[in-house]
This record gives sequence, structure tokens and C-alpha cells, in this order.
Amino acid sequence: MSTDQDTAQQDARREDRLWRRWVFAAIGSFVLASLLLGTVVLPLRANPQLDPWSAICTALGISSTSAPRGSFKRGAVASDVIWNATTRLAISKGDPVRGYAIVKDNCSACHGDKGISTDPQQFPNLAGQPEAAIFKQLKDFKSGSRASDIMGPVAQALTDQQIEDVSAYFSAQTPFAETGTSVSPGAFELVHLGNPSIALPPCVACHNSVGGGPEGAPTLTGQSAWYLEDQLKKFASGERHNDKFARMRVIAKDLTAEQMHELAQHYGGTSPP
Amino acid sequence: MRYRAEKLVVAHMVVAFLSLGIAAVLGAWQMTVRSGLNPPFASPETYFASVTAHGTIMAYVMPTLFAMGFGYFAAVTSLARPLPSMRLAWAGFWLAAIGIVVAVAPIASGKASVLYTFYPPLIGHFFYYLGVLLIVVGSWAWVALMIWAMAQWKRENPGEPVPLVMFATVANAYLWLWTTLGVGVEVIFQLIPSSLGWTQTIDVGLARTLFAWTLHPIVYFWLLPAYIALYTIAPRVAGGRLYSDMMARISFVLLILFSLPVGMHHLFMDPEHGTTFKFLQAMLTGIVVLPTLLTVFTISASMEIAGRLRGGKGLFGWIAALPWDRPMVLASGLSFFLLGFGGFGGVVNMAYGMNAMVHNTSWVTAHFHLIFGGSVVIMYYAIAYEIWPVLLGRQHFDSRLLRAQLWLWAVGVVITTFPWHILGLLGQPRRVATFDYTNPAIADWQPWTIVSTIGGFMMLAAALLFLWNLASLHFAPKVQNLQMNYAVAVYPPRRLPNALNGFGLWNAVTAFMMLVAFGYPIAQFYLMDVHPALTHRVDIGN
Repeated sequence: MSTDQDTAQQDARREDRLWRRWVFAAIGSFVLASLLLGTVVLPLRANPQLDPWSAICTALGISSTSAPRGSFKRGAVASDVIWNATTRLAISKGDPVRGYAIVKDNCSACHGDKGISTDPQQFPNLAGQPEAAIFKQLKDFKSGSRASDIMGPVAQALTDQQIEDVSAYFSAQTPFAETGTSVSPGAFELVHLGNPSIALPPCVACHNSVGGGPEGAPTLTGQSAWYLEDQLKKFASGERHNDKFARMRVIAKDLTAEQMHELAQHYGGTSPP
Repeated sequence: MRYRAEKLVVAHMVVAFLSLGIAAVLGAWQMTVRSGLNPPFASPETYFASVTAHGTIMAYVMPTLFAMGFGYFAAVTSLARPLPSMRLAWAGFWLAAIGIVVAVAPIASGKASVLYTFYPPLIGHFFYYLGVLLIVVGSWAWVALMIWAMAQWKRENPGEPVPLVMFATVANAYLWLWTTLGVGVEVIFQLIPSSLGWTQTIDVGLARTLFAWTLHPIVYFWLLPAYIALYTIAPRVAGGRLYSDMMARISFVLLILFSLPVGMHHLFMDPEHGTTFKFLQAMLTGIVVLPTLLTVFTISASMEIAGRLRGGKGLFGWIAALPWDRPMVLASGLSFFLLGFGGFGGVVNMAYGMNAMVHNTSWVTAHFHLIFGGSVVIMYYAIAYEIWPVLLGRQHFDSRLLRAQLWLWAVGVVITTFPWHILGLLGQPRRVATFDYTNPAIADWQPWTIVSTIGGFMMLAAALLFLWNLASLHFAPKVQNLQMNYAVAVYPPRRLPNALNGFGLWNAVTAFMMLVAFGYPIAQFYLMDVHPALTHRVDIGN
């Protein structure tokens, strides 16, 4: 009787072993085949110039060939501004009254007393921009993340508190009222729908009045058209590179010169009388 | 029914079905908002609060409570023994019930409009996450009880095959345990600290990966009670036998294996992962056709047995011979029919290339409403019609209203979701409250959305009729000795290999697959430079 039970138990154990072996063999080989296909075979077919090792790295997303397009070094910091609680708190401490004292002597010659540019072909309007946007650009001019012969020295002369005050002042001013001179349908679509076929998001996803976009995104409505077009070109060429995660560089690269012009006209105001 | 579990089962089901009714009202209202019909209270704020409530109920509350109640029912009826601990079962129920209240309060006050997927960096009120967590923790009590009950039964009946319905229920319990690990880790270690203001930044890539861990198997957790009914109740109601008990067991274990390491197909368009693991998980998603086809084959064969026993002749004559006047048979047929459409839509979603075309469009929402409403919830209705009389000891003797309800729901699902798919192909984005249909670029969407809305109201009417049908049963005539019986297999198993009578092997294989499929994708966040995002607290509006 007991031997019968022993045999039955042995049989059960052998059966368990068989199940274990075959289940792991079947599933393991399926997983292995999928991994080979996904890491080596298909990437090599897509990029025949790769060697197998680079193909594996590319598929894992850890090689330079899989880096997003754009003229920036991977890992290079676009801007020193970090949007954490400390930064937000600092921005909220800006004082427009103190800001005006600084603006009067340092900014108004170009950007106007109330943030309306004195020469839109060269200088942007600042009135009504979000505080975070002005703050970020001044900080970037100061650190050199955004290069400018004019703004570099100006920003370097300002303390952090002064930058916060200036930002507070300009953002409190009434924005330039006159809106775009062109309503080309192409630009309208790019602004509101983007171009999904080349993964181009609409401008309003980030540049809008209701928020939800990245911190520090500027308002475009009422900005100088010359300035906008110039900046789009600089993003596209990589000359300007202080956009976090290369957002604007990636987008601008996909725009044609004509589209840049139309977009600038769409958003840009004409010069004030 | 014996063993004092009636109240427990009814409590779970009542909460599940009442919340279903509320969610159905919200769903129909949301359709009118999206259609540009400007219903009362329409604004983006109310819309997203409503979508959050609808999704939270339909994803976390209704199916979870239903699966728990049905699981308790299956355990006491099939094992013919009391639950190991009624106290633990009730504790789980009350934990979940409190969780529902705690989660719904911030949603209703507009402080948690983060949708049921709660993708960071959107962060809602702390109570919302706490509530969802309590529901999940409550359901873990059910998981423990199911595993415990089966273990006790096996000890008392050594060498005997566990009844199929219990085996499948425990399969679902293990599946749920594996499923909830991802979202549990995300909620506890990422979302709750952010919602309390302890952290200002959050790693969105990691959070999305952890949520993807949960997001696909949770769907199978909803689906499994429907499959359980198809295998263990429908063949009996149709008057036939289950074609193969062993095939059923293999299907259930394969469903555990191939529903878990596949969630990354929700991240095909995400930048935080390389193509390797997306491709691997696409392959593993594809192989889920195996248990699905086994199921289609087995259920069709079982139904054919029933049809032929009833005198059906010829190649398809057995189909007409089936007793379609019985709600369970009718629901099974409708569920199968709609599962076909939903399945094909799913193949589009899981295909690495085609996914890009439907990503983030209405196609996706249409797909999961079709599968969930058309194949899953309709079976929940049929299960309720089957077990409610046993629970109450009362029975309807006229099933016309029950059948009308199932037909209304099924037709409603088709009218709602088919145009919705088309809208997705036209490019309509999901998760958008209102559209300006005066814009010529999208004006041709509106007629489809209005048709879809009509379907939505049919589904609402069917959901309310369902509640009425259940309520009216409380006034139906009493019947003595109503018993729950499950389908008997053509060859009832006398002895089974351990692999098909327990879950040790399958949990080991699942652990291996999760390690392969998610090991590196999660580890990479600790190996590479990461760029955490600033949190956006919707409850305090920053």
C-alpha cells in the first residue's frame, strides 16, 4: 500500500518536472525569439549600416544614434533655471515698484517704459509676458545659456532680486493690443492643430492664456513679428539653445522658412505709431 | 444557498450596481457635452470631474466589487464549505466601501479631476489616491480569502480536482494581485507624496511605466468573471456540457501569463523606452490570441453540444436550436459577437505600426467601451440574473424584460461605439471636453458624435432597466431550494496534473516574465539621467 502511494507521488513529481520544463522552454524560447527579433533583426533591417552591438543599444534607447535630432549635446544643460518650489517662491517675491526703478535706467531705451518695444525690428515687447518667462530669459542671459552681446552684460549686472523685480514689473504692464496682421490658413492650422503627420504639436498647446503648458513659456500674441521669425530661425539652426528638453529646437527644425514667416505674421503685431 | 454568504455577496453586488447606475448617468451626460449639444452644467471643469468619476467607478469600483461578490459566491457554492473568515471578508468590503466615499468626495468637489488614469504631473487631492488605495487594499482581503479557501479545500480533498469555477476565480485573484502591484507602487511612492506636497517633482516616465504594468491586466481582471460565466454557467443554462475542462484551465492560466507582461503597448508612443521592450511586449500581447481562440473554440463547441442535444441539425442548425430566450444564453451570444469586433480593434491597438495612427484618438476610448460594455458588463448582467434568484430565493417567471434589457444594452453599445471608432479614424482626440463644430475642419465630426450620444442614452436606459429588473426580483414569488449548479464537462476530470490544479508554476512563470518584460524598463530610471517634471496640483491650482 505504502509503495503504491510512493509510486503515485513519484509519478506526480515526474509529471510536475515535465510541466515545469516544457512550460519554461516554450515561453522562454518565445521570449528569446521576440527579443532577438526586436533588438537585432528588425533594427538591423531598419538601419543596415549598424553593427549588431549598436543595433542592440539603439533598440534599448541608450545609444547616441537614437538621440533626438537637434544640434545639442545629450546631457548638456539647456538652462540653469529649475522650476522647483524655491524658484516659484522667488518669482512670487518680485516687486513691480522696485522693478520700475531698475527698468527706467536699464531697459526702457529698447523695451520701452511700459514694455512696448521702441524698435520692434530689433527688440521684443515685454509687456504682459508671464513673470516666469521674463525671469527665465534674464537668468539665462545672465548665466550665458542664452547668448546676446546686448543682454548678457545687462543681465549680469542685475542681482537675482532685481531680476525678480523687473519680471514683476513687465508682467504687470498692459500687453500690446494690436494682434496679427495675417490670418493665413496654414498658420492658423499650425497654431491650433499642429501637424500630426510629422508629430508637430500646435503652438497653443504651450503658448496660451489658460496655462497648462511648460513653465516659462512666453505669450506670443502681440509680440513683434520680426523678433518671432528671428527666434524661430535661431532655434532651428541651434544658435539659440536655452529651451528645456530642446522643445523649440525640435519644433523649429520641422518648419519651413515660409511657415516661420507666416507664424510670425500671425502672432506679431505691427509697430506702434 | 448555504454558509451565510448571501448578505456578503448581495452587499458587494449592490454597491457595484448602484455605482454602475451613477456612472451610466455621468457617461450619457458626457456624451452630450462632447457632441456640442450644450447640456446643463456643461463646462470643462464639470466635464473632467465627471469623466474622473465615471472612469474611477467603472475601472476601480464596479468591476472590483462585482468580482469580489461573484468570487465569494463561486467559492461557497462550488466548494460547499463556508469562507475561511467572514470577518476578513466584511473587513475587506467595508474598507472598499469607505475607500469609495473617500475617493468620490474630492472628485465631486472638483479637486481630483485627473481622470482615472491619473497620469502625472497632474496631481489631485490626497483623499482621491487614498480612496483608490483603500478599495485596492479591501480587494486584497478577497484575494487572500480566495487563495485561502482553495488551499483549505485542497487539504480536505487531497488529489481531487478543484472545481473549475473556483480554479478560475483563484486565477483571477492571483491576476489581480499581480496587477495591483504596479499602480500600488505608483500611488504609494509617487502620487501620494506629491499630493501631500512632500515632493515638487515627479518622474513621469517611471509613473507611466508603473501604471502600464497595471493598465492592461486590469482589463483581463474585468473580463475574467465574464469568461468564468461562459465556461461554467452558460453551457449548463443552454442545456449542454462543457466541451473540455482541461482546455478551460489552460485558457485561464494562459490569460494570467499573457495579460501581465504586455502593458507597455500603452506606451508605444512614449519616449522613455527604447523599441526593444515595446516590441517584446507587443509580441506577448499578440500571443494572448491563444487563450482567446481556445475560449472561442471551447465555448462554441459546448454550445454546439447543447444545440445538437436540443435537436439542432446541419452545419449551423444547432445555433438556431439554442434556447435564446434564456438571458445567460442570449448574453453569451451577444458578448461573443461584440468580442469579435472589440478584438479586431484591439489588434490595431497592439500593432506597433498601426497604433501610431489611432494613438490618443477617440478610437481608443471607443475600443475599450466596446470591449468592456459589449463583452464584459453584459455578462455581469447575465451573471446577476443567474445568481440573484439563488441569493434571494425568489425567481422571475417572465424573462422578457431581462432579454429586452440585454438587447437594449447590446444595440446601445454598437450605436455608441461604432461611430466613436470612426471619429477616432477621422482624428478626433480623446480627453477633450468640448469641440468647436463650427470650425469647418471638424464640422463633419458632429453628426457621428450625435449618433454616438443616442447610443449612450440607450446604454443608460438599459443600465437603469437592469437595476429595475433586479429590484423587481425582490417582489417576485418565493421559490424553495434554488441551487447554483455549474456546467459539467463532457469528461469530468478525475485527476489533474498539479500544474492545472494550482498556481505555483504559473506564479513562477509570471514572475520570470515580469522580470524580463519590466525589469530593465523600470531599472533604467535608476541607471540613466532622469528629468523629473514639476507637479501640477489640480486641487490647489498650481
